[in-house]
Amino acid sequence: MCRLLTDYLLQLPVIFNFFKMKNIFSIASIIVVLSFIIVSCDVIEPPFTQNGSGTTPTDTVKRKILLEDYTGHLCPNCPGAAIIAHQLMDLYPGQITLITIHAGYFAKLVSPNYMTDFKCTTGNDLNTFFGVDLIGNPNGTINRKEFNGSKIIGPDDWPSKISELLTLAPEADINITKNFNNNTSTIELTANVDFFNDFQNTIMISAYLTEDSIIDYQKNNDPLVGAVPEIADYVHMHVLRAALNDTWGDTLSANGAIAGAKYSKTISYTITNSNWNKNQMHIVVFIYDAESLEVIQSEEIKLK
Amino acid sequence: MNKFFTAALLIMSMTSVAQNVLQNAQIHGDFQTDFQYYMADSAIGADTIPEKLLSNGYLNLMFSAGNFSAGIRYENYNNVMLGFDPRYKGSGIPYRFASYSHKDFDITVGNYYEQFGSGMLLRIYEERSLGIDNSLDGIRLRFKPYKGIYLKGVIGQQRFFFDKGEGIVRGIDGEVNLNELNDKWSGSKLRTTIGGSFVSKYQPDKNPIYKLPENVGSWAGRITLNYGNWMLNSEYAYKVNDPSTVNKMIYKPGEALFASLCYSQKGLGITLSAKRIDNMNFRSDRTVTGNALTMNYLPALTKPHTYTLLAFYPYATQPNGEMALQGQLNYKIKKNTTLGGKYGTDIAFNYSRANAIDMQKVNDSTALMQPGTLGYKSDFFAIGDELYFEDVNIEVSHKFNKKLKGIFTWAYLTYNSDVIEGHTDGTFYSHIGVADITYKITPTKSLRLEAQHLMTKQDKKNWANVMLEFTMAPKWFIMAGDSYNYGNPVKSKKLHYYTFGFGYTKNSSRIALTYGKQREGIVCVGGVCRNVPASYGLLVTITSNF
Repeated sequence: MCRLLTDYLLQLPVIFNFFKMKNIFSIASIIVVLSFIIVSCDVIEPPFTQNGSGTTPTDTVKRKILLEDYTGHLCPNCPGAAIIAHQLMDLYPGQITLITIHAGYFAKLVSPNYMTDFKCTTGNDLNTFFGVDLIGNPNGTINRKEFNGSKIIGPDDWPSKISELLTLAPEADINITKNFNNNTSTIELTANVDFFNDFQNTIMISAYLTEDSIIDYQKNNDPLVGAVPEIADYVHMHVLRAALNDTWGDTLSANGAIAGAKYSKTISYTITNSNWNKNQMHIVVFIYDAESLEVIQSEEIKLK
Repeated sequence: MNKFFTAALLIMSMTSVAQNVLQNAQIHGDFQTDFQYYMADSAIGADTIPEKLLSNGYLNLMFSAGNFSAGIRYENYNNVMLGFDPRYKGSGIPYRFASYSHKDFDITVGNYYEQFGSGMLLRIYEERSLGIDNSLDGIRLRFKPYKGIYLKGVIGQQRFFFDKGEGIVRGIDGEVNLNELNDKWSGSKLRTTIGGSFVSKYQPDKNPIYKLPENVGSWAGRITLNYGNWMLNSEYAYKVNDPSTVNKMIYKPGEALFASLCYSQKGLGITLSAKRIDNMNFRSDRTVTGNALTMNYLPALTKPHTYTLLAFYPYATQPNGEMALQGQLNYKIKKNTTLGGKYGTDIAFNYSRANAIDMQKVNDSTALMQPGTLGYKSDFFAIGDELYFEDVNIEVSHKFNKKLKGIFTWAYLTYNSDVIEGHTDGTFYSHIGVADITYKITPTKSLRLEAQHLMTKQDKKNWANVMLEFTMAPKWFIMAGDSYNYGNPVKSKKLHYYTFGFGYTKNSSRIALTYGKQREGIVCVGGVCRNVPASYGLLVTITSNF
């Protein structure tokens, strides 16, 4: 089509000549137009998908991105976003830490099928702070980093933004040791952090609890994903349940960090909700810059 | 010494030029601030707002002197009012420009708004009430090389809240007015304008899953014909593959056709319009949704209603595909006839309908709308089965006597909420009746009563609305109104949404106060909509022009 248009536009000099407009402006206009047309169309031929894999881990320490997917069981577009998140986890194995945050309008309880409350205090806090609900679901944050003036990133932009961040070398490594007491449901967690870069600002550390494989209702409008308008046995994954050390975590280092230094933090937490399936739970730990809120590195381990 | 004199002369001449310029200079502008004090009301779903008070403010300052003009707009959102995108939070000067025009040439640098044709490829505009500002920041040239020929060229990046979008927009547009072009045709009864545009965007491809086109080109052709009482207006647009979040990452090219035929004579006006939209969402960032970074505008072929209950279920064009048509008949029954009465009666009948486009699988192994494929095939003239929206309405305006006049409207709306709102609540069918009576007490004082009723078996069932407004022209107005969801099957949801308002205008400044409850809903202007959450509180609006 671009070629057809170019052919058509090549006739312009004849038309202009007809109107006796051999002035510099008409010639300049034609040159501008033609050069513009030639560079302005990329028609992609099938197959439209990339066939390469994501990254080939060569080093032992890799950058691990925190992807927070804001969702809700009443959000019909959200199952599609979950698929993109899992595609990325397959593409970049071990390099994406996913948390799904149920909060806001689409996470409300509606009888009879949507009475399971997936919300939690931390999710509500984050949803309000980042203003995700007012923009709409599905949406997410990637390392809570700002792109083009916004921290809220749509699901179809997750692949580009994540691939961009994964080209960067890791700036820290988090090693977690944990002890979970089955009888008291108490977690004793120690995070040891090695820094590879210098940081000027205060470094914070957060630990969140997530739960997998919760089967419940989910609204859906995409027949490629599942039943429409709702999936009765949708498998909810990576559901944020609680923060082990409050929404914004603890200070890991008040005076920033220097490359080569090690910092550690011990966090204790007792699970009080007996409905949570501890066999399906994970602990996500991440460190971030207290000024920009940007996540530096994340790590995930199973609770049990 | 010579250098000193040269410099002095130069400064004096520049000062003289500057004085001349400033003598003809004008500064004008406008100011608007809206702020609302929010109160929680769990019954209507109005949440607690931590700041209690939210405010949006705007100041436009325009300077012009001879052929030169420049301007800025300051915006302040502390913090963003409910219903607007929270990414506007903060303040700054997102709009500034300088422009120079000389004879047939016009150059603008900085921010600007622009439209090519009907806007199906490029419409850069601001609609503050919806939180839309997709201004381009770059360069625009407008050039008239010959009488009747108008050329435009734009390049730039679009505003993205207080930043810029990643994509670069480039476009050219040409329009020829044949009657101006050729003296022989200048007196012709047939008035003809033809035009064409080419618009392209560039956005880098960093996606590890899809091969994305970095340059997406599009073109359009249009014609407007006027002959006596008739007018025909049509535009066709085509866009190459542009996988995006809105079209679910499919690679099918997009196209759009719009045609409108009008006939008018004294007392009679007829308009017939039709359009086909196929995969024509066009943004300078393929992954952005909502109202941000839109490059084009696809007008809805529906009547824009203003009465509260008539506007309950508004329609916005579905950029992924729709076939729509609209017919409008305006007829004035003459004065001093049985139906026309002493002053005549105006009747406006309107019918509009939007359906899905026909969609067939690309092949047996590819599902419809499967991401990373062509998505679907579509017969250009075939209409899809799914009805998106239908509106049959009739409006009768009659002046009974010197003091009393009325507007009576009835409408039957079919509203596919699944498609229009992206929910899964099904289709709503509603009958709406409105009586709008104005009684002129004195030449400057009038009383207006609106009584409305919406009847539906779906959604929240029946609503009634009453509004009484007293106006003392040209300065004062006061109003009270209530929308009552009396038909809601849940007793606790049979709620009143009352509103009290007051306004005062002096010269070119106006203050308006509104206190009451606003239901959660969708507000649309020109077919573009935004979701407004429920709220309760006092809203103050101050505007001023200078």
